[in-house]
Parts: sequence; structure tokens; C-alpha cells
Amino acid sequence: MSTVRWVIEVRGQRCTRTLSGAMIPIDAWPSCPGGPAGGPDHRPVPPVDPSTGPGLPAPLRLQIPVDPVAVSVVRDRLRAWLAAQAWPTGQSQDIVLAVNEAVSNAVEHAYLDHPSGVVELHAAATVTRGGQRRVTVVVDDGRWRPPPADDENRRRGIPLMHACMDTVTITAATPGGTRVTLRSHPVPPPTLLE
Amino acid sequence: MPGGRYRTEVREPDQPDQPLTAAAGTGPAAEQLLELDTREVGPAAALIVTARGEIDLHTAGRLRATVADALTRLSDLPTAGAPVVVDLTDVTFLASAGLAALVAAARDAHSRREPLRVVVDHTRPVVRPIELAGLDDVLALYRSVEDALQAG
Repeated sequence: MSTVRWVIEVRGQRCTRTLSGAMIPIDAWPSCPGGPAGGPDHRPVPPVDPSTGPGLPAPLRLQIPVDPVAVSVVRDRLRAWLAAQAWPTGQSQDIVLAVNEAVSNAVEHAYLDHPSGVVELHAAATVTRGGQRRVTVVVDDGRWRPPPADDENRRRGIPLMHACMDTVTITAATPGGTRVTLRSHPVPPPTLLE
Repeated sequence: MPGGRYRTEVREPDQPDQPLTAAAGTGPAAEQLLELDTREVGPAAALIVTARGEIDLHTAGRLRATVADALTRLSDLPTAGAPVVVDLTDVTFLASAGLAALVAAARDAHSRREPLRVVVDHTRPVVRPIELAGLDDVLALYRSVEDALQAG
């Protein structure tokens, strides 16, 4: 759980807050890819690299309404996208579960603030240096807000994301959204799966 | 709108020229995403809640309400000791919202002193989140409805 950090601003100083509520100055966490939009040192999070290499499909990009029913549509699309590139079943199920949690959180919490808003999802597959494949999924809800102190779904959802993915990063992102970046465990290229 | 399709616009921004209706996905209504059915079995009048489909943010509330209703019915029955069995054998997806609903139902059952038993087979998308969340120690899990009914 140590990689989950929320970037927030306290009296003008950017800090991160861990899930346990501890405050850590942003400088003590060099891996933070960005701070609140508009801050003096704000660095936009770079977009996911487009898919490269043979056998990799085009990235999946979806805009979904802030509506709980839309999450099932995202799962369907993501399952089909992973199946089209012969992603191993167990790993595919883990990615779908983790993304479901990220999108559910985004939908649930965005609904309170801007029910007519849009949640964006961007999934791309890449080939690692060792020839393996990974999927990186970015879920951006378009509006930054600090995490609620006590939220049962989030409390269970974030550990599930961690258990299913290689890395999970939650940041404030430009232009002011909460961005969850999920990077899957590597899997072999399709030809080696038989 | 029971029985109808719930239309959800899911846009693919890579294809901005495509009409939204062509690019739109349709999502099932909650009743279609998750079917729930409660039936009474055996002389002991156990109640079996059968769930079929996906338990997520959209549908978990209905699972929670259905199990709560079954626990209430059980309290009203004259036979003591019969369980509510929640059969998840035909569930294909279980999210944290569903885990929260199961935990809430287990708490509810505990406070009413009614047995609540949950049936899961080897379906990985159901077993895995339960194990990852450590709920295999919290929920009374059984491999089949028969096992759950015979457990004492």
C-alpha cells in the first residue's frame, strides 16, 4: 500500500498523504509524477506510450458518463480488447478487476460533484525490453478532490488494485483530475503462451 | 425500466467523426446485469438466494437488500437454525462493492443470530477477490449448496 499517495496542498506546500493519513512533503517522494494542476512545479503526467510492436492492438480509449451502469460497459470493452491480443485469462481477469475498482471510484465520487461529467480511460499495451508485454491503464475523472476519510468501497477497492497490478499510482493530474495509473504484471508474448 | 436496455453512451474519442449512436455501448439494467432469486427448500425451510451475473457498484445494493429480506423472512419462520444460503456459483464477476455487500450481510446475520452461508465454486473472478480481501476467514464459504445446507 506504500505506493498509494495522494498529492494535496497544505498552506501552499505540496504534500502527499498516505492512506493512513500521514503527511509527507512532496520532495520526499521523488517518484510523484505530478502535483495539483497550476502549482508552480506542476509537471503534467505524460500520456501512456502508444502500443508498439507486432501483435499489439491500438490503445483503447473510452469516455464514460458518470453513471454506475457504465462501469459494466467498460469491463466488456476491456475484456474484448485483452482477448483480442490473447492476454492470459487470469491476468486479464485481474486487470479487469483493478480497472473496475478505479472506474467505480471515479464514477462514484465524481457523481457527487459533477453528475454530468465524464470519466476517461486510456489503455495501452507495450513490449518490455525483455520481450514481454504489459498493459497500462489510466483512469482520469476530470476533477481532483482529496480522498474521503472513510469510504468502504475505496478502502477495499484500492488494496484489490494493488493485489492485481504491478504498480498503482494515484495522483492529481492536469487539468485538475484525479488520475489512477494501473500497470499490469508482464506476460509472455502471444507466441510463447502455448 | 424493467426488461429494457439501459442506454449508456460510451464514446471512443479516437473516432470523433463516428456518430455517437454508432460508437455508443449499451449497458444492461441492474436487473439484467445481476439476476437474484430467493427460494425456500427442505423441511427446515432454509432460504437460498441465487445470484447470476455480475456484482458491482451498480448491482451490489440489490444483493444486499435481497439477502437482508431473506434474513428477515428467516426470522419470521417458526423453524429455528435454518440458514440463508447465498449461492454465487453462477456469478461471473465480483467487485469490492459486492464484497462490501457480503460483509454487511454477514454482520447483519451475526447480529440476528441467523446462519448465513456463501457458496462459491472455483470461478476465479469470484474466489480471487474474496481471497485477496481476506474474506475467506470472514464469510462462511461452501463449495456447493448441498454442503451449505448440510453444515451445522
